[in-house]
Amino acid sequence: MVVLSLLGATFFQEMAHAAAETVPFGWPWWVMPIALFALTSVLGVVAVLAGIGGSVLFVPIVSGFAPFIHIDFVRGAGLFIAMAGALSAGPGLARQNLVNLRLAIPVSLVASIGSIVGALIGLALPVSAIQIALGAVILLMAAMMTLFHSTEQGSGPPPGKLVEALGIFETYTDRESGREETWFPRRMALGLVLFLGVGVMAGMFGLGAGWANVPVLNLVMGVPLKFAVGTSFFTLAITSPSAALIYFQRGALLPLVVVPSTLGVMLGAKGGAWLLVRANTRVIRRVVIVVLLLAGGRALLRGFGI
Amino acid sequence: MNRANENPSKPKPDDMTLGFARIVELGTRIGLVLVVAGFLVYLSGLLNPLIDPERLPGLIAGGVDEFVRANGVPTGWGLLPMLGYGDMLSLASLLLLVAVIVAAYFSLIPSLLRRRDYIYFVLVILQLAVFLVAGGGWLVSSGH
Repeated sequence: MVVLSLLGATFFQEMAHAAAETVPFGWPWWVMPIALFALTSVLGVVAVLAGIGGSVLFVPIVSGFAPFIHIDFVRGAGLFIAMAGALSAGPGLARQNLVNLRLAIPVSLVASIGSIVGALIGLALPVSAIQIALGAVILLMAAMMTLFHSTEQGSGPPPGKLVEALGIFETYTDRESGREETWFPRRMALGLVLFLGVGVMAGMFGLGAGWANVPVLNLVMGVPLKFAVGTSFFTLAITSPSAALIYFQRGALLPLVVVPSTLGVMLGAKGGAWLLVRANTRVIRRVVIVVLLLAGGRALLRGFGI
Repeated sequence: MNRANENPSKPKPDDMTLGFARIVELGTRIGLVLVVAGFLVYLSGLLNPLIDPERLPGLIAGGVDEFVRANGVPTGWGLLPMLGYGDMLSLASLLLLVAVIVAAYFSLIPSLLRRRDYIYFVLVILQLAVFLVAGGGWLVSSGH
């Protein structure tokens, strides 16, 4: 998979080099925000259909194929995209009783701390190291999308003392049986450790962490899938600002990049939600996996100076 | 928090979650309007920008440190005295979205104290402290 992604990414080398040479010298300045808006509108649609966040596509694609925008600014924009998307979607999910705030608060605290650490590390490391690490993470993400499937109900060992002390549990109506069921998160301590790592990655690469939050909540902590997705959105809304503030403090937030990108993804997400019941999401998901493979390969090539 | 209901009717989110969600929803709507307004002010040139947008695409291929050094761009809260510039105003409007989640967290405090839920009160205070530390500028590293 790594070899295929590297081979595929080399086909885009000439395009990226040509872009770097002509932009900004040949194009009017307003082409960049319009192009970003158009690109992120498409990414927003695709992200919803594929079940991943807009920033997960934005950061590797823009940093890989638009080298005239340094990855520092791309990562800052990526965090804002993740935050804005989560702020928009979170309240609706909460009203549908798909968010457990008592679970979101401790995991978000840990992930926030991780994201700050990640942002500081990410802004201190050489760009080549960031590109290599980003490439590896993106390829891992593609592998996870290919290999792992979330479980609807969630399962695991009985809740531990930490869960009992925090009083986290949720009652919901099972769609199939019509009965009221109660779930508890499992392996809370392990989950918190994993969320710390997820936060570090989110801050370092400017990615929303939904792609990692949901598997940790669902597969490790045994949270039913719908609650994992809903709670993940709330966690994103809390974690992303923490890292975004670090990028702000460093001067890596540019309105000309952040605003059109954020608005584009949010608009695209609305379109994606409309298309969700009409599109073949399995095909979309496969296309996204290919795009992630290319983007991850491109990041690796850039990291190695190729 | 939702506890197991004795009433078999469909479980509903608790008041604290709903209140948090309402603040996030209202704040996000207002915040996005202000973000768009700030951006339009910037693009229209109603307020002169600190950095001419025509020059910007040529300045951002290098890292953030190079950008800040070469162009005298204020970092962090150094933008506050410069809100008369369109790009700085637009940047400040983006921070309103961050303020939404901070405000939502503050809104949890009275409810938690009423319930005597001191563990979560401490967790919320810690989260607010994390936001303060991140936004305060004390952690900004030296760069590439």
